[in-house]
Amino acid sequence: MKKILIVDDEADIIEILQFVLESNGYECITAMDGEAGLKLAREANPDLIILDVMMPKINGYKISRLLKYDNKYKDIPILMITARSQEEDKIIGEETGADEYITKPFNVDFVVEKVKKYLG
Amino acid sequence: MTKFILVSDNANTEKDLKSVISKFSFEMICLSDEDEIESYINSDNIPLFIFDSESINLDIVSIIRKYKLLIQTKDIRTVVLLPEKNINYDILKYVNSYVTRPINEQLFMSCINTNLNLYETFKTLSKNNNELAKSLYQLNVLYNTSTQLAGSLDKTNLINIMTDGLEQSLSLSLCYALILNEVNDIQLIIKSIFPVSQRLENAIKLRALLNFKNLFSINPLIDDIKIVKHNKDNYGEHDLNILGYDNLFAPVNIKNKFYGIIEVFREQDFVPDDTKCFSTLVKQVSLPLESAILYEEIKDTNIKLEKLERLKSEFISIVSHELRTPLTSINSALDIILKGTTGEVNDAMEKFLNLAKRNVTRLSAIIYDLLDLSRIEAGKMEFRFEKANINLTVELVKNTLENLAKEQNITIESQLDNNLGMVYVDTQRMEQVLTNLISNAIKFTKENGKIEITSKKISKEDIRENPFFDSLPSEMSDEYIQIAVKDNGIGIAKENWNKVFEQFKQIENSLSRKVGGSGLGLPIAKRLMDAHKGFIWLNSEINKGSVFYLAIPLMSEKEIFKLSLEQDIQKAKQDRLNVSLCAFRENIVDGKSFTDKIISDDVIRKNTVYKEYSYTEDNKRYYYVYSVDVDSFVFDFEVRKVDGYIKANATGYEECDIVYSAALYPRDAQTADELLKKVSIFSKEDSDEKNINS
Repeated sequence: MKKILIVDDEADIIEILQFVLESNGYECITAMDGEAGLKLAREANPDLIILDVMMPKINGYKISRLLKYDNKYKDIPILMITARSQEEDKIIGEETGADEYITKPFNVDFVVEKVKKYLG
Repeated sequence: MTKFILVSDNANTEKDLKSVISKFSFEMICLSDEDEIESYINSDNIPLFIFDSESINLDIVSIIRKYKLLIQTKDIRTVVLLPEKNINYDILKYVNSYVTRPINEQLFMSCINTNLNLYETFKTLSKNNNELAKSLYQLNVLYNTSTQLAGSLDKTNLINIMTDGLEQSLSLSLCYALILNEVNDIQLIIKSIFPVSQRLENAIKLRALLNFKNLFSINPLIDDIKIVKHNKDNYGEHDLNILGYDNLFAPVNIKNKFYGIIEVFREQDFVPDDTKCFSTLVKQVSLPLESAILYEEIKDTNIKLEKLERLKSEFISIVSHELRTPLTSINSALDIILKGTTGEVNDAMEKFLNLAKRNVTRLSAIIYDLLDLSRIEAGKMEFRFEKANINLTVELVKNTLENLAKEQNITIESQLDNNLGMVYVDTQRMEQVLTNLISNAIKFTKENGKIEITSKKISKEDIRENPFFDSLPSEMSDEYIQIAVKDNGIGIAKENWNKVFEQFKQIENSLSRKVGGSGLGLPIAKRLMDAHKGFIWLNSEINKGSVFYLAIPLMSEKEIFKLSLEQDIQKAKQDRLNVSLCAFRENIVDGKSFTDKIISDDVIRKNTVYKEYSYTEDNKRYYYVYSVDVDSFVFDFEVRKVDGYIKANATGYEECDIVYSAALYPRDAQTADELLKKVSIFSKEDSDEKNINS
């Protein structure tokens, strides 16, 4: 079973994504802040990562950058969830290396579609 | 009675002189002891010394030489009595006059009188001189103080400059100023030479407060007063006796309002000149104080405005992030239930779940629109202008919305002119405008309706003659692309035509609620068209349908280049960046282009994004290229590099005859026009300047 890491500081979003992805036959592990997310990404061998941008401790862009510049993890697909807020606008434009961007409010089917594109 | 001194130990001389002066009102003191001389000189009431050269034991010459300097500083006159014969003329160098023996009474008296008169004259003169010096000093202090006052916009600093000026010009013992900044902010500044005793401080506080209460209608509490003390020296102490010194007092006015009071104390009595100096200095501070207060108010307002602006941005940010996240949760949850993953959904449930979902969608649309509108209004909307074929954008939007139209059995037809040329737009924003117009058309058209989209070229005059516009900008493009979206829906009454573009002024609220949407779509479209220097208008008839028109300015490649340069300069101005512009002209030989090579060889652009524009005319190729965010150092380096590159590679390209020029914003020019002019070194030959700047 393919393993997906969901990193988001919103418990509700995690729950929804987890439900949808699990009912589509994926295994999910979750983290609620950037630090824990980065740790899991490095230690739990996920096949794909769904990352929220604005998060406490380490933001999604940074996590994405850290992983994509590391040969060990650079092949893990990253789906970035963005709310297109002003703070995000400020850090946007930095090279993040994320594979896909999903804008809030998103459609769950769309997310599943994107996940399927990478994991089959 | 006028006194003078005779320095002699010769009894005859004393006797002789006494007999002479006995007829006049003089008093003569005869000193035979050298040690007494100095104290008489210093007593300041002896105008004249007579030295007897026929003294017996006294060495008159050395005495005169010894006291010469002291006598001179006191302006005391000196006369020497000389013998009849064997005169030592050397002595005459050290005295003012001489009298020879035997003493001629008249001559002697006239010598004495002359010297006494001279003494008086000297005294008056030196007194005047002192006063002049004092006035000059005061003036100098006044001048310095006013210069300093003009250079400060800080209230406390101004008061300090004033009190310092007073201290310097009047040699004060103590000075205090009680300043009312605000009702609860009262400051007492005490400046004195010596430290101030606690008793004196309390007394000054009380005195200041009483003076203050007499002038001001407010009653400050003694504890509200903040005391600031300065003293020059740390030894000694000023006590209550200071209050017995001579004093000057003045209120500090700003326009006709009291701002504070000032009182100064001095051991020596004040003379009229001092009073003048005092009042001038106190008056002088009022104008800069007024400016300082105004400055503070402006600063306060600015800080408040900045805070408001920040709050607004924060609010926008909160709206965008904090509202979207819960909406995402709601929407996703609804989706999950609707799909039946969590259990069977009956018809009624589905109906209401769909209702909820529709409204969530509407809510997120409103949030997007609100965000857009506030970004445009705050000037924070970022546009990514690019060359575009607007017909492609129209087709794209049409295709996207065709499904929505089909649901209502509405057909969308388009008739687009394919020879329109390029526009310079933010295609995403144009898509937004078109989406809004077409989806509006769909919403307001009945089942089986028809929507027609057409595009064509129109001229400036077409817009000028359009009765829809009350006023038009003075600067307009010559040609525009007009896009019309025509429906056969419910139509809009003429009195409401303009209102549809005003934010939050929806017409027929019930209808727009029925069809959904934020009601902000058209106001946003209007503002987006404004940002494109374009126009939006409509024509409509109730129950027959509406036509919404867009006019997008048509531009030549040159105009587009100039516009993008202008926009990048604006951006650079905001971000304090540089814009460097280079222009080349070469003779094209055998179709070889050297300028292309310069660009492709990375000589110019390094890692920066650059924009270019080129054209060929009469076998000459013109090449313009600019980049943003190159600092002047790098820029100079780049230009030198180009220069070096041309020289190093010139062999193969000599016949190309390349001319180049470069300029930098903001170093060389402030606008796109000026910058282009700066690099138009070849303008005279081929009127290139006219081409690029037209």
